[in-house]
Amino acid sequence: MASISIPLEKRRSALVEWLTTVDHKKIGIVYMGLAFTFFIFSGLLALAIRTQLAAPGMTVISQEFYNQAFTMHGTGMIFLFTIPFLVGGFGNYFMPIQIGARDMAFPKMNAFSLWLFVFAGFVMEFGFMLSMVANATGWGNLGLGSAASWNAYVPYSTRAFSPQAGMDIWLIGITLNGISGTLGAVNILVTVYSLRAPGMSVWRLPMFTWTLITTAVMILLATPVLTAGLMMLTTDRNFNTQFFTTADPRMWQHVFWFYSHPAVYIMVLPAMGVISEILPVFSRKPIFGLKALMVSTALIALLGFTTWAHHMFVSGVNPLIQRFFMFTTMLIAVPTGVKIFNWIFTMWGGSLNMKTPLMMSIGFISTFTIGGITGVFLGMIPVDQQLHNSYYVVSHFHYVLFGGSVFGIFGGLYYWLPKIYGRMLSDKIGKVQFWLMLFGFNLTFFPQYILGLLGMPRRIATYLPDRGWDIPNLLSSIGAFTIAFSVLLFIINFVIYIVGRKGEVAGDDPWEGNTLEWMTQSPPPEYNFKTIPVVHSERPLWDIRHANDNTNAHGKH
Amino acid sequence: MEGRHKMQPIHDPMRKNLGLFGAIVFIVSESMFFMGLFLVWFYLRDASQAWPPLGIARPNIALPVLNTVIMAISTIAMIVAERGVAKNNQRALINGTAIAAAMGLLFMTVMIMEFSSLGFNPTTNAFGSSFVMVLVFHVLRVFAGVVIMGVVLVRAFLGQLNGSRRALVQACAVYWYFIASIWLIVFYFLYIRL
Amino acid sequence: MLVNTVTADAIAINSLYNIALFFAVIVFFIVQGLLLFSAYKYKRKKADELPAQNHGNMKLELFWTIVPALIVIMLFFLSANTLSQLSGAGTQASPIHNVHKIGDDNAKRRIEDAKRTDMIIEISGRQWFWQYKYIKDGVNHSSQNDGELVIPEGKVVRLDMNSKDVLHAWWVPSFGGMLYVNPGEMSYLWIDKPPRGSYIGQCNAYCGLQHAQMISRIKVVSQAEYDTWVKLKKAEQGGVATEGGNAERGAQLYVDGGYTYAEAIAKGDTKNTGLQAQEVADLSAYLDTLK
Ligand SMILES: [Cu+2]
Ligand SMILES: [Cu+2]
Repeated sequence: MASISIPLEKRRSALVEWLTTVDHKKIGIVYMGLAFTFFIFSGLLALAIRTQLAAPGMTVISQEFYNQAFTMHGTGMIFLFTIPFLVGGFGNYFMPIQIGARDMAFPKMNAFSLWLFVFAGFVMEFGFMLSMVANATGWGNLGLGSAASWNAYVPYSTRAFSPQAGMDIWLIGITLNGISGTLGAVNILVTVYSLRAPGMSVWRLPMFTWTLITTAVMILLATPVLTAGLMMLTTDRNFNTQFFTTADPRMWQHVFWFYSHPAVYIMVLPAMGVISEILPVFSRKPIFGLKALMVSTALIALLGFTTWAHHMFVSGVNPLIQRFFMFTTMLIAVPTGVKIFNWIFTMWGGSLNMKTPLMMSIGFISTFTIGGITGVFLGMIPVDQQLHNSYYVVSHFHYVLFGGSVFGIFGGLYYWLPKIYGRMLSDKIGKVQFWLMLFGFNLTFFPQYILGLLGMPRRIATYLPDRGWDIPNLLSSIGAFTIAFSVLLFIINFVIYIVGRKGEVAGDDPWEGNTLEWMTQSPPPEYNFKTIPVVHSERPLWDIRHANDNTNAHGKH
Repeated sequence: MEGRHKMQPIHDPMRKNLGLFGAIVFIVSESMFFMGLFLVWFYLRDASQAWPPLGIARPNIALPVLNTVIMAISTIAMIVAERGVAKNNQRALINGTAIAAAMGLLFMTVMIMEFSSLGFNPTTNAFGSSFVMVLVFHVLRVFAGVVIMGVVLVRAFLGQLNGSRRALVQACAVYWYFIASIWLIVFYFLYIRL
Repeated sequence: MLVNTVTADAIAINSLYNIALFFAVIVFFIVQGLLLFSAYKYKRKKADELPAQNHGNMKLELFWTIVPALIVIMLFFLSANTLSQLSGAGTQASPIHNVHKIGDDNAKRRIEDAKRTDMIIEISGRQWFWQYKYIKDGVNHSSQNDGELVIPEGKVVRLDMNSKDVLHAWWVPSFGGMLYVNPGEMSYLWIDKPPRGSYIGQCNAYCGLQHAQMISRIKVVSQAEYDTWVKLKKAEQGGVATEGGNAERGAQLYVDGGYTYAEAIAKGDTKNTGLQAQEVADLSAYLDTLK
């Protein structure tokens, strides 16, 4: 692979090096940095939303901006933060190291995916930001932002009802983003299939890598269908094709949710992988029921493709078909439950090293459980007929995607940043961040369950004072700012201890890790490993560390 | 450079087949894209009383039949090329690929004639949109295949392909067989079973 | 559920919710209990302690696979059961599809047979208000300016809903149930014998700029109050609706033909509707009363 290293002799500037890199680690870092920026941006939009809703009848932001804000909050968090961070960021950086490879299978294509993602993200956010500034400064309405919500239901998203260019920009951005993701998925699958270290059989794959593969399969199968739909909507809007003019509105919904339900697992499975890495390391125990965890991951991915129409229980789908989707939806709770118990029993009887990564993982299990349980409620058709599109749903998927994915991401950051930069973050600040985030999170989203039960619909820019929604909304808004503060703490932690080099030197293996990334230096050299390691179990580093123990190093149950 | 001489070389037979395996995985995702287009086709068909809708003439089958023949010749040529490179037969590789690519170009030309001979266009109705969309993406796919064949030809002329370095030819061939099978499905549903 | 559930439908959904909540609370406490207990109990005490390396336990794993599976399967059947108790749901084996294309007479007939109905109100969703048409009483108004949907108590009211633009959704939490209102399609919901009182609902499918303002206020009153309200409304509308039989026959035609006829007449193109001249006149008279 001639492309692995860039000749230092040429003394290219650092910027050019980052722009032209094909090293999976650098690409991973750019993904993470950019995705985190989008996280901050989409989070600020959430703060604008929560400020507006803090009390009834507020006019902090205009209704028009509100509608764009929730659209871009959702789109940004999903397409520009969670998926690229976990798959493009963690995936790119750690998967090749975890399987003992020196790079991805197609490094140049990897770089292409990255810059396509950057371009798509820029396309999506730039027009919106320009519109926002134009609005605020009184230049008038540029119409470069989309306000059709992230699911862009037709006919609202057609030219007749959303004539502004912002809708087209949004569609093109999502399409390019999807193509970037699909290429990334191809790369991941080929890499894991072809470049594993000797001895790394399927059952010895690290859990994060395993979840990443299942995620890649889901991206590979689901995204192209959405891409097809997006292209049809785009041609309907711009070239006068007639796909959505005569069809019933459910056609778009089917295409959209065929992608977007699996997208939930695309966002949460890699985060589950992250905590499945953290828990055994910090418990000093093997993961409980490894095979069950791996199989349940695959089952979730498989079942995930059969549940999409549970988003359409009140759209007018044939009732017999609805029952089928109710069944599959409720069934998917079973492999999810298996995971939760396996995680808890990984900790059970262990020797818990109570550091921030473990606490974030415990936070994940605790909050994700609530999200999972309320998902069963929403899977029951009669209950969904009452709570569909209400704040109950908003709360449910935030418990899954914030309580799950974001806690997982922060856990992963505290766990892996020392590997990436060679320095430790402050564990004290980390713990304060964790408690603030857990408290702020529950304060934000638990009241939203109550709001849903009180009949508050999602996507409303304001509400009347006579509905009894004031207090839960106020609490929720206070919670949102608490979360923001906790994220600020993380940034401070990062700036002082890693950028400012105040953190302890991490060394190769600060946590007594199990997987191959802890075998190499921190930060890893460009070629990752001098010699490709040989793997004998799912915990290659444990094996090395305990090579001389005669007792229970390899103990079986 | 500094690090490069420190790392030990990897002797991994899997590495040679990266391109081929990549092509197969990519084909899976392309089939899903194609499925998305066809799901919409079937959804629209089931929702309408007549398919093609009243007042729309059934498209003539002559040009598509011609194209099926072209596609078949092209596929055979590709098989010859792939077999050839495996046996280090450069002439079979170059001639086979060249014929396959020429047939691909011919296929595109016939398809463009077909577009202008249709009694409807994508703006007529949902049927027209869906029909043309499937065909347009097929033409694009053929175009992509021809471009890859161009790369194969260039590298064949440069003498970079032989029996032990032929992942590119294999990937190109697999993709081309995929295109040919998709064409059969398209031909069946858009013309024969219409 | 935290809203005041007043109809049989809402109460049925509510009790299903409560059953699920019962299991949810148990699962919640088990999971959080185990989690907190192990986090508290197994903290590392010595830097070099090495716990037993246990890789799993088949019996335990089977237990937490099978028990949750049984719970969700039970909830599935309970849900299916509740579903068939809801208004106009049909039977378990042949449930009724309460959304159909405008002009699909077979589907419409199934809806008519689905549940005995005392009165029909046609509702059109528009950006950003609801338009109400009382078919029998000829009243016609909307949710704009806090306009209320007034219904007599103890009646089974069928809502025949359609959208004139984008998707909307009808949802009055106290009555239970919600349904999308689509352009080109009819959606049906029933309000089953509501008690007296004021209720409030809101459009629940994002429909654009003023989605938040698309509020529906419902007032359930006694039959006598309702009759007075109808008289008043008609007086406001100029009283035309009571004149002559033409408009009444037209109203019936309108109910039968839905918007297809009405739109044809509005466009002045009745050739393809198959209507007789007399019927066109009746319908036109009725449509005039709506203006
Ligand atoms: Cu879903
Ligand atoms: Cu609305």
